[in-house]
Amino acid sequence: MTELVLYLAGSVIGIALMVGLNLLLFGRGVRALDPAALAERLALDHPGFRAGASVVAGDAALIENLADGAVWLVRAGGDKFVTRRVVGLKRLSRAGTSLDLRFADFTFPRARLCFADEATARSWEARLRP
Amino acid sequence: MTINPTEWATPAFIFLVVVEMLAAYATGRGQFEARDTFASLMMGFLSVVMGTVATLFFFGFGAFLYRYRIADIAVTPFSFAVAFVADDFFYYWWHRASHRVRWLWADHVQHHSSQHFNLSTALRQPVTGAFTPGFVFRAPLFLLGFPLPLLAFVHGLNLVYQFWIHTEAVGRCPRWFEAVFNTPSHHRVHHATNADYLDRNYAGVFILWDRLFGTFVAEDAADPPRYGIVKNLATFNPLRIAVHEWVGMAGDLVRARSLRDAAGYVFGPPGWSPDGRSETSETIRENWQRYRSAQLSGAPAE
Repeated sequence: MTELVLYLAGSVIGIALMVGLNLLLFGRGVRALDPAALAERLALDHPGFRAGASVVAGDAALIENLADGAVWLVRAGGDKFVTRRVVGLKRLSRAGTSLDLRFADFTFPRARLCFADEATARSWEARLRP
Repeated sequence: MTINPTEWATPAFIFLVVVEMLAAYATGRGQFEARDTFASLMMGFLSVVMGTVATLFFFGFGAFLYRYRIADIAVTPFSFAVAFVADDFFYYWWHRASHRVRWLWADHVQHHSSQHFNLSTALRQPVTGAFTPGFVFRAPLFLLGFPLPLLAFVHGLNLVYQFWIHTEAVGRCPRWFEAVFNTPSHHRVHHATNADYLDRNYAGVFILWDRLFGTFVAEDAADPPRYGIVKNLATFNPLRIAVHEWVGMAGDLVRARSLRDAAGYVFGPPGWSPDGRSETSETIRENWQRYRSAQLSGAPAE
């Protein structure tokens, strides 16, 4: 038991060392939401994806697939992207220039999109409404 | 007392992660993200704690089967070598099943949940193994009569070997080595979500099993691996990572309309659904093949 406790204590020190060094060397990189890079990534993941209208809204972006009309939500997850097809929303609400999306997704339950103006927010809200 | 090779190797693991980080910083080969690294390492830590339960299962189940062994195998250099190879063979089948049966995948997906591929990813170990029947895959080894401490030791060695293959810092090894052993190149394919790489290269130590059973794919420089899972996670919280697929499976079971559907959700491949509308590795591959064929023939893509 003592050995296990020592092992775990040593592991905690090791974790602190490795995460600290990671921060020191690489910082906390957050991937920029560049529409061209998003389209490129979605095209790599989904056959026939053709990027249509897109908008960067705060820390997330929306991008339309011209092939099937679907809208994809992209969020920067650290230095990588996390993407979801916007379908089967639990809730969609708008307050001024921001849209609030709720998903039935345990690791991605919510996204808040902050647009530059209310007209853009309304336009994307209309696209996302089933 | 049983020597646990993974515990003994832990200081070397830490040292090598630090070396890999410094090398990635100096050369640009390899990527690290602090929250991702933290999640991986915390899961490694939690797996040690939870592993105590799994070890009890292993020894309890093994001791039970060992009573019905067909031979008494002494520990010799030869039996050690045979046990190592045999353990790796059964590891291959456990690993393959872990990608093809959702109950096992609910545990194993935790290891694949990082979009990075570095030595810290090797330590992103599942913490829910005690809730899966994974240990039954090694039943033949107990029944053959290999002593339990020997099996525990060779399995630990197998896991220690697999640590170093989680890296982008190593390109290709010598051709003879790539032909026989699992390598960083082969394992990058295994961790990738590219359609052609999905559910390939299950080997632990010997890539020969994949070559033999038709699951081998070589890394293609024209198709660089994109790591992670088909539906990447939007969290670095180790507990959410650990339970996310279990939560998904439980939700599907609650919504199941028949026993057949329930069985499909548990024993079918990840992504299985009664109407076949959600994506599995097969449908993803088929969609890409259809798309490429259409591109080649000039027909409009669907």
